[in-house]
Amino acid sequence: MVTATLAVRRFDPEQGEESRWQRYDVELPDGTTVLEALMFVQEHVDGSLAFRRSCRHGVCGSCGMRVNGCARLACNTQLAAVVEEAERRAAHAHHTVGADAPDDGRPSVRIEPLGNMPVIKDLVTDMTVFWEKLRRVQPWLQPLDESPSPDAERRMTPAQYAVLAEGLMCVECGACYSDCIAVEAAPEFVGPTALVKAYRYAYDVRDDQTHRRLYDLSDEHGMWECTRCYTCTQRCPKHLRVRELIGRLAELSQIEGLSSDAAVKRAKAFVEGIEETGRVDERTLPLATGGPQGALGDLPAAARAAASGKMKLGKREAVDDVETVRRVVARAKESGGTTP
Amino acid sequence: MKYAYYPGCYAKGTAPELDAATRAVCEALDIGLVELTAAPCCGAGDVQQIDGPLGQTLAEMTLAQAEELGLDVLTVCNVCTLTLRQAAAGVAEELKGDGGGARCAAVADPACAVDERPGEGSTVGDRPETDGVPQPGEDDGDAVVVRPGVGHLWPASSAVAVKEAKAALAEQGIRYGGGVEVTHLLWALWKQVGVTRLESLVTRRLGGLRLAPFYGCQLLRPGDLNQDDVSDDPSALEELIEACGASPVAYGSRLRCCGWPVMYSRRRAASSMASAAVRSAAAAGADAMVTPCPLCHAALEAGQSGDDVPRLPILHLPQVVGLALGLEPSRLRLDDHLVDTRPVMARLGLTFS
Repeated sequence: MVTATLAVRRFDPEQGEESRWQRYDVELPDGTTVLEALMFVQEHVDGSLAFRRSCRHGVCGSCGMRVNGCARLACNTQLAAVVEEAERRAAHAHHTVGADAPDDGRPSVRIEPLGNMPVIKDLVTDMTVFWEKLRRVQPWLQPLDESPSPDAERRMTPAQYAVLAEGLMCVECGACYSDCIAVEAAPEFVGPTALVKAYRYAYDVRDDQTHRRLYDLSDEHGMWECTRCYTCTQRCPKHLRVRELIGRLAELSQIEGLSSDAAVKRAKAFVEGIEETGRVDERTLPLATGGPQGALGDLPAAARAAASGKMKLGKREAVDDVETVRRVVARAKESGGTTP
Repeated sequence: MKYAYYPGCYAKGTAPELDAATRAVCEALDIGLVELTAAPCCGAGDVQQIDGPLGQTLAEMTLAQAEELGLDVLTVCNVCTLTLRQAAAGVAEELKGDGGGARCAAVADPACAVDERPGEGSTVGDRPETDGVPQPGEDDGDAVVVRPGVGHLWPASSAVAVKEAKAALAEQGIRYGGGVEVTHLLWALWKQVGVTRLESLVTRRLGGLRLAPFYGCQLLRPGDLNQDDVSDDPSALEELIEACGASPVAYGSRLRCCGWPVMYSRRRAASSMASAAVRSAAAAGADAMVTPCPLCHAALEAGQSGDDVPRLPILHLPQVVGLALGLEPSRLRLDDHLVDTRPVMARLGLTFS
């Protein structure tokens, strides 16, 4: 049996603005999932508890929620594992200053609604914006030739399929979006879920809108707003390498010649520095990225840096055998690859 | 204990204090460092997202140099660590000969149920001829079959970068054979030296100092490439801080992003990430933040340029360990910070000599 205390963040707009924690003690058979535990509570303890669910086996993507602070599919998460996790965290907390006082009794498994979206009731969130962002990337196949004969197949090789298959298994549960630090910092950011969908269609050889898709996602709140924290890859319950696929999407946009974003200029400044000395000269990044105005924007920090001698001008020392590095960079540039 | 030391661009650039403190601490702890003086920038993920093959080539040059020395790589930067590990993982997949798409060694979230755990011999076995590409749902008797959705997939698209990097390196007479591990100073201190031994070597306990550990993203995530600690619940920094006699502070931002990857390209987002982290640590009563990453360090210092953000010294991990080992503050170059570290020193009754 698994013995657990669930601490559920409850919210009912009819009962006031504030959310509150409610605890439920359960004892359930080994192998019980978090979703099954919630269903047990709803059925036998508290019928007012609200959450979404449908398939119960990791396909529909409905039961995304935060368990112990991490967005997960409740149906794909073992209760025993998160009880153990809660106990480990409580043990750590004893060693730190200012940690929340441990719960009376055993540590509780904290269950909260997904982040980066408003809560409707309890664990049910309003996913309107999430769906709007998904629609923005037009997640459907768009061949130019729209009416092939009914018995004609649009074929691809296994290798071509393998590339897009990496983004195929997304169930749109919102786990990556919930915990995306870039969405939190810039709420207009299109977010990881939509970018994975975009990857899947941009790399589909049967689709003829790759350039337009990439162009659309090259704006301020498109693919370049990702801060590469890898939380999305870490969270994905279907184990997609979400951030890595966003990187491949960005790379494809370079092959398509979409290079005006400040993030691309920043990356090119890396390449320039590497070609010169083998290393990036981070002092060049503000100017390379934002132009004179950008550099001025950093003046206070730059002035202080100069004062402490850190940003003092003058060439950096090159790495040993910088000639080899230069040849490698030159080759990349010549190969018609994606470098400037 | 001896490593091929890869300082990275910041420690050789605007964070020389990190290089100095690393060398001083490693000397005190008998960790041998052979600097990779010909190693280029790892690409930092910046190069990788505009030119995958070039990024892979640069990272493999460093790995190849360490391999020639017969040493594993020690980094002092989160981004260097992940970037080199990603390059090494790409080569490892290529050496397995399954053309990418194969499953990595572990799942990221141990709490999530998986129907099969990858383990020994979890590579693709006797699959039918499919151009080396995994077929979803395929079952092949006892052979472990790769299915999307079970374990992480290594991007087949990265296989292209690995192949092209191999050709580019061959032209320069360079070959990386796949035999190098990449680690970070944090893991070397926590796992190789160990908390107990470190504690026994402490001569200046940092009693009364409240330090907020800031891990940085790319040393923890993704969890299959960074298996050194529990990605969503690490304790290494806290344990090292305790071993030094200081008190680790609990606060909300310890596993958050500093914003460095979008610094300069998305200014508002970047500075809000950095300043939120600083505010969170200050509100929890920290005297300083400690980070294993010079990019976090740069972002967290720059994030304090606004008047509405409290001033909080940002210390490099080896500076904290160095202080506890009794090293002189000037040797750890604590006077070389943008945000004044003297309030920290004053708490310890120290001054710059």
